[in-house]
Amino acid sequence: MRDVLPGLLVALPLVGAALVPLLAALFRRTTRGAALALHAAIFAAALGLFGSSAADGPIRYAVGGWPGPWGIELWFDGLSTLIAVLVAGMACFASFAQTFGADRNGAAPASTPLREGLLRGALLLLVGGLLGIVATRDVFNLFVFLEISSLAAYTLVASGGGRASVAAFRYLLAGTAAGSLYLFGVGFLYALTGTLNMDDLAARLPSVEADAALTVAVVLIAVGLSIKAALFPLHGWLPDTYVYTPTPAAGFIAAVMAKVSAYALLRLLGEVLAGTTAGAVVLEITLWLGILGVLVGGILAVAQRAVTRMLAWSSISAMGMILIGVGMGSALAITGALFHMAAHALAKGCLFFGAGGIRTSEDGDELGRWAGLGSRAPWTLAALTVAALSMIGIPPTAGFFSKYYLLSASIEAGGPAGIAAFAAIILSSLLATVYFLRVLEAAWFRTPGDAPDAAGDPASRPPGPVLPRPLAVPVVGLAVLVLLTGIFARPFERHVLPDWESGTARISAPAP
Amino acid sequence: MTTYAFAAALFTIGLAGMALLPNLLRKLLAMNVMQVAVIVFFVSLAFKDGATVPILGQGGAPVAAEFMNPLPHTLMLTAIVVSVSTTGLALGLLVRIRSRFETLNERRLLDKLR
Repeated sequence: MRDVLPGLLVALPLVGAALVPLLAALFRRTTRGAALALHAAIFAAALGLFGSSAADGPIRYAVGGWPGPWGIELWFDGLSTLIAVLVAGMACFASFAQTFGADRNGAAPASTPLREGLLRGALLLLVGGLLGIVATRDVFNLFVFLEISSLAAYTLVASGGGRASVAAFRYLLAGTAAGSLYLFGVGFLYALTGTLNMDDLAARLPSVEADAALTVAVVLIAVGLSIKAALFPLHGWLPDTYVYTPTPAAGFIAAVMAKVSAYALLRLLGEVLAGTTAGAVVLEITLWLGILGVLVGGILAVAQRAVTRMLAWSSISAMGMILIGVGMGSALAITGALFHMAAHALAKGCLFFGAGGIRTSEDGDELGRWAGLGSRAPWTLAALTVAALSMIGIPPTAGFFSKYYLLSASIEAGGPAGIAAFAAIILSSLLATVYFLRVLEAAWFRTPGDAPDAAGDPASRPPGPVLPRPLAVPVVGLAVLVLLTGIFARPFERHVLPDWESGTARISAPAP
Repeated sequence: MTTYAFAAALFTIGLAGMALLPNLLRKLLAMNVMQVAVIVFFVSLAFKDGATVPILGQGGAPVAAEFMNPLPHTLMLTAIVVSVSTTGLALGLLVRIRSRFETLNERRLLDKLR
């Protein structure tokens, strides 16, 4: 099984991305079943790799039988398999939600089986790109997968039509600038060391430590990946992209897209370039920018009146928090960062599926439209409440434990950076309390009539449930997962932590 | 060294164009300039004076100094494919933006979106 699964994990979504639109074009029928089956198979492969790497140690897979450093290698340890499970799992929910179609706001063209198949293909391509970034051990291959995932994401964003096309174009400019900066940095690394393999790079970098070009390479790579990870102040593309993306895709993109780039940043800066002076300085800068991002994201989230835009700014705050963990770099901080990736992906996916659906069913996105939803759809709103509590960080939800780890790491780190990080995380939780309680209060304790920004009379509302089933199932499912992740936080910590601590040792380990 | 400086200058011009030009199509062209800069950088990386393409002749042991490094060139084949597909997608988006909002000027577009 260890011989087959690594290749399957990346090949399945890429083949599926071509196959599903083809099926749709040939048979002119819905491809829901085929796409769901593929996503389930990818998720099963990710779970299998997760279990296998936990039980028998990391897996090194030489693509096409060419071992590194000549060939491209895939690498599955506790870290990469964890993110792979997260991506593949979220993709299952997103694929289920895609049955919902684009938002019914009139901007998007009507759904046909072919269009549906193409969008399902784009989602599979996005998943394949992200899993490739997670798995690859080759820095140029990482660039290719970065661009594959980005191209698929631009397509999904643009499928909303109208304003979404503008948002997609701006995202494309930012994403391509990020990719080019990264590739430029890779060129410098290659010129210095003559290798693209991460293990090989880590082994050769000490001998070129004195070269100024190394600093240029590290800065270029860090800036490129930081744009993709929406690190403050390079987050400009994020709010519009998240707001105008059609709901099924928004739930997925908001949940995992930026986090996979943060993972790549962690891999390269935290592991491959960790031994270099430039790498250490850039990590320190990342930490401070993360602290700023946490505060700015939180403050601007409070200032928003539209719920999805508020969620987008809260994502910038969360990415800052993840990058604080990456920047600190201690085992505890990395655990916190990884746990926050998981916790935030589950909760934010749930909230975006929910808020996007409500935006469609209530015909608007302002806070007032949420008034009285609690009595109309108690189960859905209960699920969204769980996700919101996790974002604030209330036990026993997953969000509490990620903040707990990050706060402990800040205390452990000490110094001005530790104190600033501690203060920023506490403050951002307070801000999150303000902006999420506002939404929850409107949903549970107000009736549509007495909302300040009254959203018209209920009669003008389109008929039908608050959330259709393609969105309600992911919302409730993700809320349950948020609770379970919080309750089983300890086993998670035990699985990831030892693996990361042995990280430096395993670089020189021979291929199995 | 001059080619590296040239690539860096080209990259900066492209990046500045993307940020400063008001028209979305011009932004896209600036983006292409930026992508070409990276390709120039990689291609010049592999160049050696007096070396030839890495195809082995008849007999004799190959001498590394006589051949150019083929890897950066092959990498750039992939990068060019990426660049072409990104440009194609971007042009498609511009067609849609133009037909919906009837302008590609960023400021006028933002006014319409407000």
